[in-house]
Formats: sequence, structure tokens, C-alpha cells
Amino acid sequence: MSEEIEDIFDPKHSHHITSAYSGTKESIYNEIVKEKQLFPSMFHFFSLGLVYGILHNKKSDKPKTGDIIYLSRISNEKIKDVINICYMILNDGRKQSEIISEMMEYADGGIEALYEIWGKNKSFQLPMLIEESKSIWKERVKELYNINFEDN
Amino acid sequence: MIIKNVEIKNWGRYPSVDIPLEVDKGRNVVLIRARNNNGKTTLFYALKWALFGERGLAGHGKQTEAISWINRQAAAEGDGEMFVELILEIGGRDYRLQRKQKFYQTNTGDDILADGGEALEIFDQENGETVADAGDTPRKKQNWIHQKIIPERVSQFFFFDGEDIKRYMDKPEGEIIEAIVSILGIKTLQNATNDVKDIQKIFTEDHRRKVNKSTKDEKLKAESQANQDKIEEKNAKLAISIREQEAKKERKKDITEKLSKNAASEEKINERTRVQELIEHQKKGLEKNKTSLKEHRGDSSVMLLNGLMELIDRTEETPSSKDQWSSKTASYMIKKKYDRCVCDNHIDDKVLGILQKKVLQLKPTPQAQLKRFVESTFGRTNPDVMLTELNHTMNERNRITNEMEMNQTVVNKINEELKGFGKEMITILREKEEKIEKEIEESIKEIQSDTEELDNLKNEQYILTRKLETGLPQEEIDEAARLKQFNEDIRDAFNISINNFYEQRKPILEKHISDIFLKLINNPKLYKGLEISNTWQIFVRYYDGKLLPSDQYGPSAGASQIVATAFIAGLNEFSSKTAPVVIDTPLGRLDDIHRENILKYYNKMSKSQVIILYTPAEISKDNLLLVEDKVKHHYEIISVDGKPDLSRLVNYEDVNI
Repeated sequence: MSEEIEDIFDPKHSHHITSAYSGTKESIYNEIVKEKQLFPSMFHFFSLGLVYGILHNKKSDKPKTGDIIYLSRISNEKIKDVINICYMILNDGRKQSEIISEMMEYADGGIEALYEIWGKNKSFQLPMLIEESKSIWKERVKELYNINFEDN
Repeated sequence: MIIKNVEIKNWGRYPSVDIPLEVDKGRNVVLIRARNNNGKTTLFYALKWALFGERGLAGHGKQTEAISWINRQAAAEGDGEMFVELILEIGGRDYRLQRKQKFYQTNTGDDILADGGEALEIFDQENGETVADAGDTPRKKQNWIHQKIIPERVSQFFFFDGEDIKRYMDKPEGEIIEAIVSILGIKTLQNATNDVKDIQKIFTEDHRRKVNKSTKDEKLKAESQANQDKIEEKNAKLAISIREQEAKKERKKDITEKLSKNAASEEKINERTRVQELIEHQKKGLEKNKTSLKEHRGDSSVMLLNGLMELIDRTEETPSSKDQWSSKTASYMIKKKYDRCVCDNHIDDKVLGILQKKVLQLKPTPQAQLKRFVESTFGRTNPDVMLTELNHTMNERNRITNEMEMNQTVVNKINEELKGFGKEMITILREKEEKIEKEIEESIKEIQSDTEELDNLKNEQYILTRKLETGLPQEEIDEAARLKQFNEDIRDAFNISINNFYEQRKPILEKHISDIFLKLINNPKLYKGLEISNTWQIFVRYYDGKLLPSDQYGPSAGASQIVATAFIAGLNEFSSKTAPVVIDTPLGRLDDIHRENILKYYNKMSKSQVIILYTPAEISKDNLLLVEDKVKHHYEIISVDGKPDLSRLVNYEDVNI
């Protein structure tokens, strides 16, 4: 990672990822990740919820009482890249903690929507979601920060 | 026999009703329609009671006593009489058969009791007098009905509930076997054979008495008596041994049949094992696929973000790369204090001013940072490849799952075919077969030995009898021998007739019921037909040769009814009796196609008359067209106006136009 970029994964920040949908046996995270073992870990599912939430502009302000992970403890580079990009496109100059807090709202919004899809289809329909996302991003990108459209 | 008319008074829902039922050869069907609980079954049991008394009510289950059928309104009015009267045409002559039951109200008025027993009268319609040969006791009159019309036990094949006939498909019990044997006339032959046997015993006993009387040699008489006792004892023992041997042979036949099915099943068992191993292998593959899919799903956020990353990647940097290059070059030239430009011009203050203007503040902007970060991310990961791998893994999962399902279907099908069979079962059956074979061998030896002993005893008895006969005139001895021979000849003739039936007539009956079955069933290509065992169990033979006992054949309740109907129709065709067929709820369990098939066939169920009691749900108006040219009368049972618990009959057309 470029040293010019703010390192949100630095342990000194102690950013703690939490969710309204984790922390209990009955929670969505527990069901999808622990019981059904559909994702390698909770932060994988978190990152999917985060991107889906930003893509569809879905946020949830429900109290985030359940632990997921400290950002500094995420070891997977691909997921770190995703979180970094999400951080950058939301970065409008606010404090890191505020942006990360907004990221958690997006993640919970995404998780809610994804769980609804799961409930209906017993599948996240990932290939379809990914295929559809390309055209949605084209519209959504106009509302996000730090993307240069001037010469685009 | 034809029922020309039925008159009912105070029976069940009927206060009084008179129903003409006469049919002719071209139109032999009477249809009677009624909604449920309107009196259809009540009429059915009125006919059975008239013919067979309370024995005819046994099939109802609840109202098995005549008193329970008394009309409530009549009962409320006090003492009275309930009767059912039939006008019957038997052999071209009309008879009036009336069965009645008087009743009275108790003093308290809250109960109705029978006043005496049932009364049965049979009149000759031509002269109005009672039929003399019917006798003067209820028992004799009932016997007259059994002989002239139909025996009660046989009536189950003429009066039946369409929904209940499936029971003929189950392993027939003694009562049903008796009825079948009766209906086909075999019973008469069997009875005659036994009668001849009894006559022979009487002759033999009579002759022995005469012989004993004619001799004074007490020692010889005692010896002959002792020998005769031994013969009877041996005969009894032999009869038991033969019965036991027959039972063992039947058991062995069953086991052999099961074993042959098992032998054919061994191949299927091997096939099942092979497919099961394949399923196990596929399960492992699916487990691996699950792990792989989990990993791919873990990358799904990258794939979902890819659309945005591609957009960012396509953006230009600000300032443009050309301006940035110019800035860096100018900055370098100023820093190194170049006095000549690359174009060889001297760098004076004016040019230096231009160069200084080219120098930009190149601190990275957030936009540039994002673009560069995305570029570096694309250097580390390729979301398009990830998506291809995800799709591939998911397709692989679907493929494995489908194949597993198909293989499981194969296993289930084999399991269904192998129901109750397995390698362990083969071993058990083989052991059983060997054991029973040994038992049969032993019993054969025992019977042989007993038969030899019996022959010896009979020879001794013959010699003893000859010795004892010395006091008798030769004519009497000759007469006894002639009678004995005559009896034996008659018995042989009956036995030959019975054997002939099983050897010659039964295959014809089988073909007949098979033909009917194939006409009635909606997918005849699936079957070869029906077969009947010597114990009168029905088997269904499939097109591929597979044979299933009918109690195990049962794709649906309707299919079972088709088999039973074919069987009953075949029996009636073969019957030595000609009687009406009365069917209650004829089509209840059948689907549309079978309804049409069976409805078109019902008029052939009896050579004389078919009375069908049906509900509106069973026969639609369209389906009525299938039989209308065979229908002589069509009635509808309806409630009496203002009295929903009473019924009357009207012409169908009067209420259905």
C-alpha cells in the first residue's frame, strides 16, 4: 500500500468492526458463516455486505452491538483492498472513525438485503448480483467521492 | 333372474315407495342417483334384506338388525309394519317375494321393538298363491331363495359397494374362496363327491353288517373289526400327513418364488452397490466443491466491486500526465541550472520564467491516490478470473447435485423393486427352502410307508372279508362289489370334472378377466393381464413378465378397483347363476379415464340386469351419454318436501331438465 494513503489497518487506530447482525447464536452472521459455513470468515461476509450496501446505497443505523473483527487483524490482502477502496470512495474529509462508522452502516444495510435474497432463494445469486452491479455502479459512482470524472 | 319391481314401506328413509325396475335385453341398466345421505345405501340394503334377511345386512357394519332400519316417522306413530316386496322374474315365471317385520311402540313411547320375527312369503304371481315348493318354514323358504335366485354367500359378487370391492384383491379368506368356488359351480361337484363317498360308506357298513351276521366265527369277526379299526386309524393319519405335505409344498413354492425373484434381484443388488459407491464418491466431490465455493464466495466483495474499480481505472489523472511530465522536466532543468534547452536555445530569464510556470504542485490528490490504488489492486487480483472460477464451481456443484439426484433415483427405484429382498434374505430363504425340502422328503417317505401299510391292511381285510363272506349268498357278494365299483366310478367322474375345471376352465376364466382388465385399465400396454392362483389369489402380470400379487399391486385405489371389477365381472360371466348386479357407489375411487372405461362396461356385469346407485359426483351429465342407450330407468332419490329425513323417488328427467 502506498505510504501516502491513510492506513486504516494500523493497530494504533483500533478500529473495531461491529454489526447489528452478529454476536448472538441467532444472528445472521452466525447462521451464514458459522452454521452454514458459506464464507471463510465473518469479515469476508462483512466486506460483501459493505460493497453491496454502497452499491445499492443501503444503510442500517441499527445499534451495532455484535463484534466482527478489529480492522488491524484482517490478514486477507484482497479484503483489505476492498475495504480500502470503500474507505476512499466515502472519504469526504471526515475523521477516520466517522467514515468507518458509515462503512459499518452500509455493511449492515447490505447484509439485510443479502439475507432477504438468501431467504427467498436459499442462494445469494452471486453471479447475477455481480453481473447486474456493473450497470448500477455507472449511476452510483456519480454520488461517491474521490473519483475524477472531469476527463473521463 | 330380474327384479321387476320393488315396493318398500317404512324402511329407513322411505315411508313408502314403489319402484319399477323391469329391464329388457337391449336396455338392462337402471340408474338411481342420490346425493350422499339421501337414501342410496338404504335402498341397497332394502334389496339385500328382502332376499337374505338379517344376513343380508351384515355388510353394513352398523345397522345389522332389521329393527334398526324402521322408518323414524312410522316409529313415532306407534305400532306398525315394515316390509320390502320384490317382484322377481325367474326362469320366465313371476314371483312376489315379501319380507316384513312388525314393530310396536313401548308403553313409555320412547322405544320401538320388533313384534315377533321376520316374516317371509313367496307367492306365484300368476295364481297369487304361495309357492308350494318353497316350503312352509322360514328356513325352507330361505333355501328356496338360495337355490332359485342366489346363495347369500355368493351374493357378494352381485350386490356390492364399488368402494369396498378392493377386498377381493387381498389374499382371499375362506369365506370368499367358498363363494368363488360356489359361483363357479365347483362347490356342487365337491359336495357331490363327498355325498358319493358317504353313500359308499353306508353301503360298505351295510355289507359288513350282513357279513358279520352271516358268520359265527367270532374270532375272525374280531380280527376283521380290529383290522378295520387299524385301516380307519391309518386313513385318518394319512389324511393329516397329506394335508401337512400339501401345506409344506405350498410353503416351498412360496419360498422358491421369492428365491427366483431374489436371484433376478442379485444383479440389481450389484447395480445398486455400484451406484451407491458412485454416490459416495460424488458426496466427497460435493464436499470439496463446498469448500472451494466457500473460498470463492469469500472473494465475492472483490467481484462485486469490480465494476466500480474498472470505472475508476478508466479515469484520467488530474493534472494530466502530460502536464505532470512537463512539470517534472522543467523542475529538473531549473534544479540542474541548465543553460540550454533540448531545442538548443539559450535559457534566459524569459525562458526560465516559462519553465517556472510549468512547475506544478504535484502532491497526490485523493482522486489520484484512489486511481493508483485501484491500479495496484488490479495488479494483485483479477476479479474477472475470480468470477469465472466462481461460475465454474457453482456449475460443478449443480452438475454433481443433479447426478447425485439421478443416481439416488436409480437406487430408490432398485430399492422399490427389491423391497424386502437382499443378500441376507437369499441366504435365509435358501436355508428355509432346504429345510422344507427335507421335511417334504421325510413326509413323502412317511406317506409311502403308511400307504404301503394301508394297502397291506386292506389286503388283509379283503382276505378276512372273503373268509367272512363264505356264509353269504354269492349274489349278495356280487351286488356289494358292483355297488362299490359303481360308487368309485362316480367319484372318479366328479374328480375328473373338478380337475378339468382347474386345468381347462380356469385358464379360460383367467383370459376372460384379463381381457376385461385390459379393456378397463387406462394403460393396457403396461400389463399382460391377470392370473389366478389355485388358492384364488389374483396376480397382476406386467408387460415385462413381472408378476405381483394383487394385494401388493396398487398404483392407486382406483387401479385396485379396476382389478377387482374385472375379477367380479369375469366370475359373473362364468357363473352358473344369472342374477342382477346391484352396485352402490360404483365409481367413487376412480379417475376420469377409468370412470369412462368402467361405466361403459358396467352393463355387461350381469347377463340380466344392472342396478347402479350413484352420487352426482360419480357420473357427470357428459358421462351419462356413455350409457344412455343401455338405460331402461333413471331415477333420482330426493328428500320429501319439508321432511329432510325422508326420501322418495322421482324420474331423473323430472328434476334434471
